[in-house]
Amino acid sequence: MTEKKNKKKSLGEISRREFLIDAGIVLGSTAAVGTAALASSCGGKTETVTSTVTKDGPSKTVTTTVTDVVEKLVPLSCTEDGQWVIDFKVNGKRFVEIVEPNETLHHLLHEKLGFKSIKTFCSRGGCGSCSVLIDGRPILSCMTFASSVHGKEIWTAEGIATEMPALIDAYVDNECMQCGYCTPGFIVTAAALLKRNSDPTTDEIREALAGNLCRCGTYPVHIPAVKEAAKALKGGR
Amino acid sequence: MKNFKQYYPTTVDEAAKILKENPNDTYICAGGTDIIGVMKDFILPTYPTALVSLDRIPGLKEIKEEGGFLTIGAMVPLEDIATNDLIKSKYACLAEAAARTASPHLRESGTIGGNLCQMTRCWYFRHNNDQFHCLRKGGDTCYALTGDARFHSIFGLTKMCAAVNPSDTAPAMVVLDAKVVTNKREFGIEELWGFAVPGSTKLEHDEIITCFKIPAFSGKSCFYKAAIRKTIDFPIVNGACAITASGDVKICVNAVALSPHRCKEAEAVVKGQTITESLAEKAGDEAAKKATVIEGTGTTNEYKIQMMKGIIKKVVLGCK
Repeated sequence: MTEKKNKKKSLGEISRREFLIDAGIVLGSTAAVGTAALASSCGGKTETVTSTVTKDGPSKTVTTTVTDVVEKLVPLSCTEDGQWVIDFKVNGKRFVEIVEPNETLHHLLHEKLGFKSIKTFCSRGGCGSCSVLIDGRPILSCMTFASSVHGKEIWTAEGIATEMPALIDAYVDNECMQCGYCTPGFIVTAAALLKRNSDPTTDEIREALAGNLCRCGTYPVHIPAVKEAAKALKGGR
Repeated sequence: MKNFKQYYPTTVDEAAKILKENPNDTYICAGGTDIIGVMKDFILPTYPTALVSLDRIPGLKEIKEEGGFLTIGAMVPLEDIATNDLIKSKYACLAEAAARTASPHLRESGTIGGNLCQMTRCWYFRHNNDQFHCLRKGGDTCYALTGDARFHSIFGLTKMCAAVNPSDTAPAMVVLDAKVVTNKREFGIEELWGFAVPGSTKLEHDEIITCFKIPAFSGKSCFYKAAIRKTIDFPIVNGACAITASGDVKICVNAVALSPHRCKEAEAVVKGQTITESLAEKAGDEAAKKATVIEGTGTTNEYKIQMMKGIIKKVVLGCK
């Protein structure tokens, strides 16, 4: 299911037709201004596409003009219903999504896009389990509005696992998880630390990981794990 | 969360215009770490109808030194202040205060402007679904005065609301004599907070802080915070002290009253003297003379007076 959702939503993989349907929903409700904005931002060949939108009640046919290839950022735009159209990257893949103002980034990534490494624990910004990297900063996705990530680059634990395998290996070797629920949050925070500081001291690791809670009490083993990962990453792994 | 309308203005004027056009239940959203919690828990009696996010306004995220002032944009994340080399070397108490606020993750999104204007953490005020319709929400009782007041005010109880200002950066900004620059005016930071219930600041509805100006400081400054855990927790008491090269002393403690409490009695004790342990102790004792205790049902906040004395002693000695 996750795979399926990912496939459907990822701009890199969806067919042009599917993207245009998505875009059609937006443009249909933002009327002429929105259409012009999107078309002008995209450049390239334009064509007229008719798509049937079955959203919010009876279906209606919308005719819009959009471009063939969307390379530039789709501008942040608001629909008539107050939803936002956002264009952002997760783990290097581009997504264009329509989000409600009250939607948190956690909901968007976990429920809609299927990045299951982002965990719900406290949902109030106290535990660090829902951490993601936004433009290199470790940020709590439960305390971030989805609409605020427009134009930003997000990395989740899934992406970090492929980018920094040495960190995952160090975590496995040091047995840094018991129930494992908090581990993706720790991984994200540790990756943020290692990107800023290639040789962190014990105190720096403690301070950086201080916002992540683990109810199993695995705290002591994270320090050797991060140090090991730092060493391995320096060695070019 | 209930749904609401969200705005992403690109200039301060545009944001102010939106606020002016929506006079009721419209809030400014800076980092969002406070308002999202407020909205998730249905804390306010009337649900926010719109949020004006300052995230997309350029120029509010700069730290620069010019014209004898250090200018910190209102949207600068606390982590940037905590790790900025200039602030760490010259304005040590502010860097330390920012570094001790909340958790590393919250510091990455939480901003200095938001930290100074946040709503109180009084647990009666923060209870879900407006269960305690207190003074701040338009009710007629302060539940802390007859309930569990272990983290509540030890100063200014005549104002009725026993909540405290939870900001960590506030005492540091007060001792560094910062100026608040809004889209309408410029004023000293001590005038930012008012006793006005229910708001925590005296800002007008369509007034937006753009930056803080701190006059060039040469001297010593120190910040100390007491909380249950080192990370994440809000302060039980925190305080800062700054002694300039010319000998001017400023001491401020927070989380003891509705707004940061300047300890003028303690300043008078320290001014012009050589700092010794007994002098620092005396400063703490002087500051505590006007403090009052809330005798709740079984739990008092008496220990906070002792704690405040200790913190004043520590920050004064830190400026030695």
